[in-house]
Amino acid sequence: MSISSLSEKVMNVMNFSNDRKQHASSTTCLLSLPDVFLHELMKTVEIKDRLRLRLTSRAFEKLVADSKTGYFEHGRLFDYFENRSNKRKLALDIGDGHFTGIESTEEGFEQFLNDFNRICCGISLGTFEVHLDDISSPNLVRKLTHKFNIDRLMIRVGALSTLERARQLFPEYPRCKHELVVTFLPNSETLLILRKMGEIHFDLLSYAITTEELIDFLSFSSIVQVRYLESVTLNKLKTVIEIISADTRPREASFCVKCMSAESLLADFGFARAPNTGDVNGECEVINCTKWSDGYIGLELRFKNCHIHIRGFIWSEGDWIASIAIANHYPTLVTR
Amino acid sequence: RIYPLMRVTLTTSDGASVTVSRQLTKHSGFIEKAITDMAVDDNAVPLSAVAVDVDDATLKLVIEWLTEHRDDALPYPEKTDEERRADDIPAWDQAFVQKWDTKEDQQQTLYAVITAADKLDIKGLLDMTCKTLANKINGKTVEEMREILQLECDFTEEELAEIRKENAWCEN
Repeated sequence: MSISSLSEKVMNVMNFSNDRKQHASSTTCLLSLPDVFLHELMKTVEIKDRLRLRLTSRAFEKLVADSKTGYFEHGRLFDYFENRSNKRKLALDIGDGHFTGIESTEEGFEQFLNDFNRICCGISLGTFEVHLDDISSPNLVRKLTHKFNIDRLMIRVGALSTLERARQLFPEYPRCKHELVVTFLPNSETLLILRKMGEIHFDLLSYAITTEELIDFLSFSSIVQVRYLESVTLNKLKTVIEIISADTRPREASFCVKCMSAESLLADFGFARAPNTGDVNGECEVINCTKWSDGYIGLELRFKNCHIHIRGFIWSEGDWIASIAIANHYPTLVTR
Repeated sequence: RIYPLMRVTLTTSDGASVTVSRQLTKHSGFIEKAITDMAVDDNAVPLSAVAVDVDDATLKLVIEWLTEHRDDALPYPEKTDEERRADDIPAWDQAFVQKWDTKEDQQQTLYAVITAADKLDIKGLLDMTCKTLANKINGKTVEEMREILQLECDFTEEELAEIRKENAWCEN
């Protein structure tokens, strides 16, 4: 080895050593801050910032991997069609993070989890939503959810077979609240099963049901969302309102009806023409009335213990469709 | 009961002494515990000195912050996991931190105040400095983060490529 090349090697080693010292003195400073501070700091860091933070230095890559902290209101596991591979893949949304391209096989999922562990293992989620019909095996859900602390586990099921898997999964999460979202119209046998499962959320946006079915569903469901309510009469509509108003448990129903049904209801409340904000008639108060230039009216009414929201309503347009949301708390559903 | 006119002498790690009102020190869990442990008569004026492991310059900044926040409610409200917002720093606190930006070693000052807030157990100050640092890095590029946090990239190209590959799950 020539003297010049040896000298070059020595210089390289010295430069590397200096770099390390410089790095040590600068990063030690932040990473030597109290754990409680670093814990609080990581709580406020969004997913995309975590990804960038772990690229800054080894110490921060480790901090992100080890922090096991962070709270995100909502997480969701579902599948989608990936054009590039011409295959269905899984996606995971957490906060501002959208993880895609996840294989739904055990091996493929494991590969994702290995990397995911280094990004946000140990975070807490307010609600974790699983579209169970999209997931090939409940094991994938188990493996993923072991990485989180979950306040509420929401499982969406669109078929009887998936309902059975949801029934098996829920008891494995005794520490979090459970929410079963049923997206298929159950037959009488399935209804018997559902009644035993506690509070249910019916998301039946592809279905029309009768008022009698709605009343039945409300007896064991906190939320019933349907596309259209069939064979509605004023008396049936009033019955739905009375039932929701009288129930001490949170109850909410959302559906579309013909404008003539909404008009009958308003007339029964004593409003023959479009009311104004603040109008009161008997037990009904108009909390808000928005009149659009194209004739549409949006109403927020208070009747007994109910909030009633009517949207897309037009006077004297009998067959036109308006949406109604009725709840004994402020409605969480956006009326359609 | 806290007597607002009562004074406490704090001795710093670099040998200085600062006398402050109990109205300020009541926000420090560490100082209040030290006073309780002394079992002195609350009416004793001034109280015996409390040694704090904070240098004089940093303690002055802490006292400046405590003076502004002397009337803040106690105990400081416990934060839940859900409270992640960092955009609610009061205007005075923002200006207080902004003032350090004129100093060459602003990051060092921030770290020193954070450490002091932890040692003295001043939850409000710790919370504010945490939000300040979070706001500095949120939404920044990797290079900007390195600059703010005064970091040198110590990854090899292969390591960087590996992390980018892991991050790619979330970057499509």
